[in-house]
Amino acid sequence: MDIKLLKKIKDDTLKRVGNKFDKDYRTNKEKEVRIVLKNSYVIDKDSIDEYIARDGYFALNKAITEMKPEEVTEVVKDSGLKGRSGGGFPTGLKWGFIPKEKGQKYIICNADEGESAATIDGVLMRQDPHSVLEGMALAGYAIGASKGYIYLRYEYPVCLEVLNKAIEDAKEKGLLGKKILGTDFDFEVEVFRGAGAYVCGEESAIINSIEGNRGNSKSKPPFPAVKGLFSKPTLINNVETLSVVPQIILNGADWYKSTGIPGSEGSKVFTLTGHLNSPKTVEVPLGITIRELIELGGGMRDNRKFKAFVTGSPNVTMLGSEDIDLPVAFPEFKERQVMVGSGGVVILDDKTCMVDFTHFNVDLLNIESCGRCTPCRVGTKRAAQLLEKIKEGSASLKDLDKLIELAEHLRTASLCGLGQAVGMTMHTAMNSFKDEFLAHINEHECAAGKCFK
Amino acid sequence: MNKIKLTINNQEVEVSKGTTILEAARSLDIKVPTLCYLKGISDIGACRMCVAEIEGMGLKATCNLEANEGMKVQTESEEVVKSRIRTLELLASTHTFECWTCPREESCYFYDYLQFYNVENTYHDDHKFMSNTRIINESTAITLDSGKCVQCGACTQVCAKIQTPATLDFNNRGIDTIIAPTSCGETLDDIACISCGQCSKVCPTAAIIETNHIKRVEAAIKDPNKFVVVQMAPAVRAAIGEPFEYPIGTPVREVEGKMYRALKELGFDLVTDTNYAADLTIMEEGTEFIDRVKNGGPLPLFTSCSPGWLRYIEQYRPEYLPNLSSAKSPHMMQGAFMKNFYAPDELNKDASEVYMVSIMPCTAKKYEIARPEMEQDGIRDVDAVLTTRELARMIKQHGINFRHLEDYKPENELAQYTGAGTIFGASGGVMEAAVRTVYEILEGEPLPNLDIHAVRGVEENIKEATLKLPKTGLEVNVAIVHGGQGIKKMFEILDKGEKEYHFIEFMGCPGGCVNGGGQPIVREEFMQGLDVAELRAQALYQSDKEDVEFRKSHMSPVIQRAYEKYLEKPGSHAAHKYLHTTYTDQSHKLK
Repeated sequence: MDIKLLKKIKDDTLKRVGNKFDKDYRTNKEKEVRIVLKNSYVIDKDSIDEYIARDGYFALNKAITEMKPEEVTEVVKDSGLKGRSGGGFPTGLKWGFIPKEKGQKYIICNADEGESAATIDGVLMRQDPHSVLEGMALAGYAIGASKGYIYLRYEYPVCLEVLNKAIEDAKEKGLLGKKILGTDFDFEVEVFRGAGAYVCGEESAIINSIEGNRGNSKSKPPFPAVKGLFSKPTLINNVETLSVVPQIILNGADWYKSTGIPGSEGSKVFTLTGHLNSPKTVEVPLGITIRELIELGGGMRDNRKFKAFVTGSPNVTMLGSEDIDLPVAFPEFKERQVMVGSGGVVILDDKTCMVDFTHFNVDLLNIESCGRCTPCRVGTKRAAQLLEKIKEGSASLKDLDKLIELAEHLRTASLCGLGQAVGMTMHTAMNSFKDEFLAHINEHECAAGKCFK
Repeated sequence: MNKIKLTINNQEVEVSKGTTILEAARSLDIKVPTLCYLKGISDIGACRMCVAEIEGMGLKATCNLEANEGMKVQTESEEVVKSRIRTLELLASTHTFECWTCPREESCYFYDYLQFYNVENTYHDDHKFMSNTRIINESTAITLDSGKCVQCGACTQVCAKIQTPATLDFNNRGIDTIIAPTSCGETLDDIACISCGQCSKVCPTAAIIETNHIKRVEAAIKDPNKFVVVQMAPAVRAAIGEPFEYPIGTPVREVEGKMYRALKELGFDLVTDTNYAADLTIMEEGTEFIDRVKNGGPLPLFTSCSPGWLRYIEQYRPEYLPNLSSAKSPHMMQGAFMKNFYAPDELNKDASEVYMVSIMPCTAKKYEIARPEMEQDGIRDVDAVLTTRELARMIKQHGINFRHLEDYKPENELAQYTGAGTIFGASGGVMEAAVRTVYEILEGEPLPNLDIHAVRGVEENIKEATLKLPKTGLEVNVAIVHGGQGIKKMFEILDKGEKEYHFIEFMGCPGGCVNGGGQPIVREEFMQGLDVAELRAQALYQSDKEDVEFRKSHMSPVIQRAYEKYLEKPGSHAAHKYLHTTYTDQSHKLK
């Protein structure tokens, strides 16, 4: 395989498919963009030729024949791309943390899309598997890794089939495996199926899981970049992050930055769920306001009042109705201690009781806690029980203090992101909906009519 | 650039690269509380007790965080103390408090921290928070009690990394997480655990303890129809002082007499000493060795005194069982000899009347006495095993002031011993004792130097020496192996078959019996396990050198008499019936 053959496949396929690629599934062509979802629902997921026809693997060719590994990292850094799995950490910077020395290194693609409201990575892997593989190969080239794992969520059996076929096809064409595109670059990808634990979306728990251990998280530092899978330097990125890398390499950092706003470059795919007229998965430029997102979801169901914008699930953070015009962007959200999250969004209307909603999530997180550190193992349970007391009407203000204290303890003393995020969940809930909590405790009043039954 | 400077509580300290903040703080004598930390073994950062405030990083666990140049650390700031108190409150909310009946009442780290930080039991006033189901998982040797567990995981680390079976792990998730045998729902008897009890020594609470035999011993003492005989292993006298505030490594002569007296006061009818049977073991095992050398093997001969080791070989490497000595361990021999010969003949007691209690530094001995092989004609060799810790607890419960006891020396034959018997408690001791006897039997003249330093010490988990027998013309290669890690390594060497060994001593616990799973608990922050073993071993070697009349088993007049009167000669038919046993392949427990 070389660039000539790649071009020939592209030309032949374009001739064959006719106007198939002109399809556009967007309902709102002004607000929605097509970058990450460029190929989804357009190409045949099982056809590597159709992916190539959409310029697939051209970025990989460009990188390994024309660019040095550092240059690839540099372009990603310049593009402003940030991790799409929740934390929003600059991707290029993360790549730069991997030691330059030669030796065994690994890429892990985090495909354990555990958030109950998110289906972004699932869509991408099912619809456009090669973009993920190409992104991994590019990352592998940039950091000097020859092996990549896709840590796939157990509940995605279709993705498993699609990915495995894609890997076989890419290998057959010399786009993965040994001597890729005739160069000295080797890169293999293996799909590793998780067993269904939510905590296994956390980096160090993924590493434990692939190593064959119980999916517990580990203390950081040492970070995976230094001591990761099998104690080797390891880069872990999420599916959406990796799948957009080929386009950034092919079209340049400036092209990518032209979407979004400064500090929150590029686009993000959201799964809009909750009390909306038409819940759906959409790709929008970052910086879009919450109000616009609600409109894209067809507006509030039954014309009810918007109450809360919730990202993540069950590790949720939330904003109230006063923030409806807030742009969905990393710095703005961070200021309010809210995560952009991996894209699962729940829009709640005024029929929702926030005490009940918080309780539901905190209780679920206790079940999903790996049980290793004290704050998360016991603290989440006690928090859920305190919330239950509020719901029953047997709580006092002392219990609320205890809850605030627990939120702080979980945020600061938990071993990994799971426990820390439960603290954030409780903190943002009690912050944005303080009056509602107080009304429950003092007045035994639940505006949504959910509690005191 | 191998040194790093940082400040902890405004004190500057220089440490080498790779040092954790916790160790750096300890080098300044700053006390940082820990529950799950074991130096070099466990730094999983689970308990969150060792958190400190690090400038720019917030609260971090210090046990696994490497110090960096210029770090500013506060280990006692208001935030830190508050965080520790909240962690303790949460742990307390899951704990079964029954401190007054708890075997760890005086050595519970958790209790100490609750007291030190003056933690209020905030969650206990509301039934809502009582959510944990207490699961007590009892096996013949070890009992796991989830109600007392603080989920620090130290046991899982010591089991996997030091002893290697990895039989304990976290099970379930969230609040239901429990430490349990790796295949959930079964006891430690059903899986490939070796009952060594090292887990019980690193447990900060009573979540892992020896399976209680105090009750059955007390009942036997009260029973007028039972003649209760007690014996204690060599290693017990090396540590029995510790629960009564004698320093670690206190000379045997300072505590042995008090120990005998305490046993008298507890109501035992006859006090004997396992050291006697240790001498007997040397006669049997030594003869077996000579026999195998003369008659073509199988060699190397493996010792068989350590029941943890027995479980290991039966479960993990049954293909090597023919190499194992058929001699029972000393306390089993003592039991069999007492019940079948000494009691009926000298004490006019029927074997069925005698109730044999062994005080052992070991939890696996509780497993050993339950082995089906350990009886003749329906008479069990030993009826109960108390650990050193259990004996100390009994002494305290009976209000006996150990430190003020008058020395006592039992005069019956089964309480007399040589120095060779005493050093059984240290790693290398069985080998040294065997060499003293085997050499003289084969060579027909005394061994020039009785102190064989090559087989002593705990630094290496495999020790080797070559014994030259000039007259016989033999060169005997011996090895001493202690601890699961060493055993595993030794089998790898044996598998390769490159080196020829004749005689190998195996002990299940690192450091041998002095560091056994039933010995008093020494906190990790004060001393490491193997340093403790070294000090206790020194006490035994000193006793061997200074306290005894004879230092070679075959020279013991009481042993000679036993053979003259009852057993004829080592390896005789009678000896085989009562003092030897058989082994079976237990590899199915590995699954």
